[in-house]
Amino acid sequence: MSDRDREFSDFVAAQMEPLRGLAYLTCGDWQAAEDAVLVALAKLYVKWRRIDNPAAYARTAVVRAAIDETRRPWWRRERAQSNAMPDRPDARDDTNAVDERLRIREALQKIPARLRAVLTLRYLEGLSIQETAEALGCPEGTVKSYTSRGLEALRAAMGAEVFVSRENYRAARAV
Amino acid sequence: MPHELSEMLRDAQADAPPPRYGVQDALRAGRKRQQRRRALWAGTGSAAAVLAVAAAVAVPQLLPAGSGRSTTVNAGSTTASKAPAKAPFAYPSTAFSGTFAKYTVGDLTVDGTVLVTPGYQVASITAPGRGQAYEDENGDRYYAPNVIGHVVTYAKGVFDPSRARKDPKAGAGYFHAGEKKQAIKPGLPAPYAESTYTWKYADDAWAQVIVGGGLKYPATKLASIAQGLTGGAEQPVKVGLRLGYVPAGFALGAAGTTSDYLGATFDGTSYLRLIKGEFPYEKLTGTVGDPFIVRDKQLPILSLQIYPAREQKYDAPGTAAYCPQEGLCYRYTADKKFFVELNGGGFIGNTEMLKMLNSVTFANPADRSTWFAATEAVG
Repeated sequence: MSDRDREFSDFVAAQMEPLRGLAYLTCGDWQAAEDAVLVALAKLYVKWRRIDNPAAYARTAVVRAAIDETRRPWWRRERAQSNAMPDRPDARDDTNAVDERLRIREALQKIPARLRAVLTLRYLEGLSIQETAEALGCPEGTVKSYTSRGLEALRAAMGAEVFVSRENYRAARAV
Repeated sequence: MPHELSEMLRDAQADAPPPRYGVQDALRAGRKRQQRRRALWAGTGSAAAVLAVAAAVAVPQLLPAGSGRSTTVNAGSTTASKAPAKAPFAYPSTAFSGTFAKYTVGDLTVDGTVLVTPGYQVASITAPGRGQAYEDENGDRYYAPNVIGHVVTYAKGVFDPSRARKDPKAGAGYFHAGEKKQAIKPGLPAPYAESTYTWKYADDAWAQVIVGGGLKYPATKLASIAQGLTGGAEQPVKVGLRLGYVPAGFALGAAGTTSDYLGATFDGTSYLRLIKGEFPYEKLTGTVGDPFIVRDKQLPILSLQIYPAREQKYDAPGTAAYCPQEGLCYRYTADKKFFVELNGGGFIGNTEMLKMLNSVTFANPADRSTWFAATEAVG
């Protein structure tokens, strides 16, 4: 195995699972998510050593493969983001964890894929607005707008029980 | 039970099934892709040499990416210099009609009207060479037209010129060179803002030439595109489908062969945007995409776009309407060569979207003579 292949293999071993999760949250289907990750990693292999940040490249390629962003370029106006968040949560009831997980997945599936992708990149991956815009190939205003709409839709689907912690909110807003 | 969003997203990923692919699969897929790319380049390299000789003047768009601009500039310039006097331009007198005529400036071509709204109409600017590369499900590459920008003419009173900046090189117009933005992370290319040339084409009526800043076009180049603005006979914009059912309150908001995002499109593509509520076309400084905000409130919009079948990523058997996910539904034409995508944006449910798609009458997307006037396409 060449040095290049060894480096690539080490990267894949470390990143494949997080990328699979990211793809799943974006497209809502484990099989499609795995296919998207494989396509993204194949692209990354071709460009290996020609890009400085393989993790960012892979993340972008995975999300784009999952929602097919490149086909519909975006051109948006900015929209102010609502800062209103519901109250802090009660203690988690672990006995209902599985039911809750199913309910969460069902709620996420009710949101259009692009909105879901924005929420995932910002609040799970911790990307800034600028980074999310770059990953999705869209203006920062669109990210703001979709964050707002995504949260609104998720709250509607979950019964207004979704909030963003102050730490995560700040982290996701930081450029 | 309340949920913190990041925890909620992590929870949703839990209990994943065992992975189907491993490191070796990724390595194999990468090697295979690299081999295919090498074979592709070897093949297109020889083919391109033949094309470059045969089509340098007559069919410049067939030249491979990156080679077109330098070899076809002169041919384009000759066309411009020998062109007859251009027809005067006038803004359409009726909504959803276009008045752009096709014209060339050097190696650039300003195509006819590609999008109309109640506030402005848009023509695309195409350069020689290939545009965005795509790959179909078989791994075969195909390319979009090389659209490098747009000419936008705004209706009287719609555009706000107060933010336009004067440049001595821009003649009578205002020029802004699209600046390079900061790269988000090392290794990623830094994006550019758009370069714009803004000028007044009639009393209280403004127009813009908008191109990617990375192309580094000088003010004089954009000014020459503006000076070449040529009018054509006013014609209603047509689309490749007609809707038999439209949800209550929605009305035609835009129509053309590209969407509000003004992307490069393929033959047979057409677009309709429906909007619920009055969007005020005033004080614009550019074209409008989603979201359409009025007094901090988002107006509901729906978009329908016809694509060639190879653009489909959510294939399904038959030609019945289907929704692979919430807010996104499709229906194929009878010959399955094209499909329409309906994007509900979360404003209407899939049941309502399916009702809309089931009411669609397709023209032949490949034959524009069969298309419907946009105003008739939305009942």
